[in-house]
Amino acid sequence: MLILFSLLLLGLALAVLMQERLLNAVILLGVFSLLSSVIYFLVGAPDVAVTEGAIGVAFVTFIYVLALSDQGKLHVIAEEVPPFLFQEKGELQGLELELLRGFAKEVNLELEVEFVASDELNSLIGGRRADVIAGAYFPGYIPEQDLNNTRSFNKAQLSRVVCSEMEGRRTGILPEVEFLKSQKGSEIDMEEESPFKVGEMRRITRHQDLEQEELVRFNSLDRMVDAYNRGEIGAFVADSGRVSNALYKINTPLREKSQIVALGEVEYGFAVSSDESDLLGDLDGYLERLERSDRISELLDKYLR
Amino acid sequence: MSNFAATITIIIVVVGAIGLILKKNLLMKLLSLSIVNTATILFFVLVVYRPGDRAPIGPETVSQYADPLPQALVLTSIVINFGVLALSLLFTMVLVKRYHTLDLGKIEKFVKEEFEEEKS
Amino acid sequence: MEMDNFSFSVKKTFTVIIVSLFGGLTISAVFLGRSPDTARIGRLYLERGFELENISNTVFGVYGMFRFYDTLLELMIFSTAVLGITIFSDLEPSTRTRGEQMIESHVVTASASFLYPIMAVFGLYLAFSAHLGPGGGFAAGVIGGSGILFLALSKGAEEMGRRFNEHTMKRVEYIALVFAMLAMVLGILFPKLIFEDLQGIGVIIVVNMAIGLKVFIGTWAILHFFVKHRGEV
Repeated sequence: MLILFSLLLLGLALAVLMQERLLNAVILLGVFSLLSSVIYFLVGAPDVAVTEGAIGVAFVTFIYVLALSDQGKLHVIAEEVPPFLFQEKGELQGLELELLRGFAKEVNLELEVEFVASDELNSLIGGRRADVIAGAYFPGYIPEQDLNNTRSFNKAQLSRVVCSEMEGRRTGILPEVEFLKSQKGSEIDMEEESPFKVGEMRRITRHQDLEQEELVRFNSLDRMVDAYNRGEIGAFVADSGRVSNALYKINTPLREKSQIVALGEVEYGFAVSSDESDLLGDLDGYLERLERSDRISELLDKYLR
Repeated sequence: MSNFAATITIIIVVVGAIGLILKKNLLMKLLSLSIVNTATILFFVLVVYRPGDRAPIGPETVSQYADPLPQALVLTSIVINFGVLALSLLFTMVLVKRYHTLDLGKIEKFVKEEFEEEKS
Repeated sequence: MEMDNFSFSVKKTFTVIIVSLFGGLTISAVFLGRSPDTARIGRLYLERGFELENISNTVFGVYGMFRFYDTLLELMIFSTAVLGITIFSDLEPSTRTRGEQMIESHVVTASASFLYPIMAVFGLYLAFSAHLGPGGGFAAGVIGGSGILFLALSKGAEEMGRRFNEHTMKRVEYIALVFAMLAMVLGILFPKLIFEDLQGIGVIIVVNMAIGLKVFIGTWAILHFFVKHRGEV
């Protein structure tokens, strides 16, 4: 009996050391302690058994679980942008969700998506709370942060929605387009046909239209559209994924007078916090494989056409 | 018979120590340390065990009672292990907060870089 | 995220060989019958232990009466560990401000709120009856601490922090430590008065309670720290 238990203990010790995920290892260690507690009881050491049971089985395991609770998760923060990543009837949906879900399955992590306002993204990715930014992200989205951009999976337009009757009023922008302000007056000379490189910043090719404008910053798309409806701003700039959402929210008479002017190109992708280079490599490889197998174009057809 | 069981606990100690040396992840190192601790305690209890021993509790005459001395000494060690574990988990937390990784190799690299920056 | 691979180098291989050699040597020692001969000393403790009236748990007799220095210094080591955690807890405010509940399952919260008084009572029982059966101050304290764990599960970390005010807890902790040490020193100075004339029992129970209280607050401090900083490793 004793030898059987001891052999089981040896097997458990080996199992703990062979675990890939820390949480599994911790729980197996709890079982290891429990079994050793049983052995103490069998060999006539109930005092030791009680102490080991209280400390080794319950308390140590719980402390480990508390300390590790974020491990093994792919923590994604995103702005809610249909059809990229959004919630409908309490369920997550969207193009990026399918991409990320496939990726999380591949690297054996649990996917966790948290929706935040766009101005919170900056502080969250800076700390260690989030691994990936999603939700119609494009390079330059968060100006001050040192982020790694992945391959893009889709190209889009950066557009300006303008009402012909409200010429001369201020232009609304989102925080992610704020880099426009800093580049005022300087022309980016970008070759249209240049091959896309991983992590390369591809911004706007034509932005001189905005040079003379006075820019107003908004924290969210909804507030910006409200201001546009009230006539506080005469135009706003956003990427085409967000513009197509905004158009639904503009009042019907105003919408008929509005027109969309293309400002330049953006490329949607994901951002990974700068200290996780392994994750960046994995995600890039995954996206590249999807691109080669035409899965991405299937998904784009499903969600964007 | 108890000798066999004690032998197996020694093997567990060796396995845990090898894990402690070879694992790169700091938390895995701590888990290996826990294994070594538990197995050592088990060894002390098992090595004095004779088949048929009863728990040394009761007012009766001394006949087939287990040896109380290793048990009493080992009780102390369990609590000390617990304190050591909590404190080392705290230090791991400090390291993770500073270097954002559990990999000991990476942490060593970061520390070296910082040291050289300070020197220059 | 970090994958956990084994890493090898010459130095490490060498260390592994030494560890394995140590294991082999110990195993052969066990098989050759050269196991440590504690039986005689242990028997001595047993016989002396049964001479003590009212202490039927011989293990407690050893660590609570004959080898009380061990227990005292064990308490000191545990206090040092808790002190380290408390100091760090004061230095480093937690990054989480929201008072979120740890577990949302109703079954867990309901059963936990039902279980934690039972755990507390069981801890008390272990502290009171250490001289009669298995138990002792340390196990009692940790089981009481696990009761607090259940409270944290059922009511959330904020409620736990509110019910057990940090400053009061610290004060009680030091009082308990000083009390246990004082009883010890008295036991050394007047062994007849403390341990023999009163037949041990009264003082032993009180000392056990003090140790239990001290360990309880220590585990509470550790738990509180790790609940505040959860998910940070």
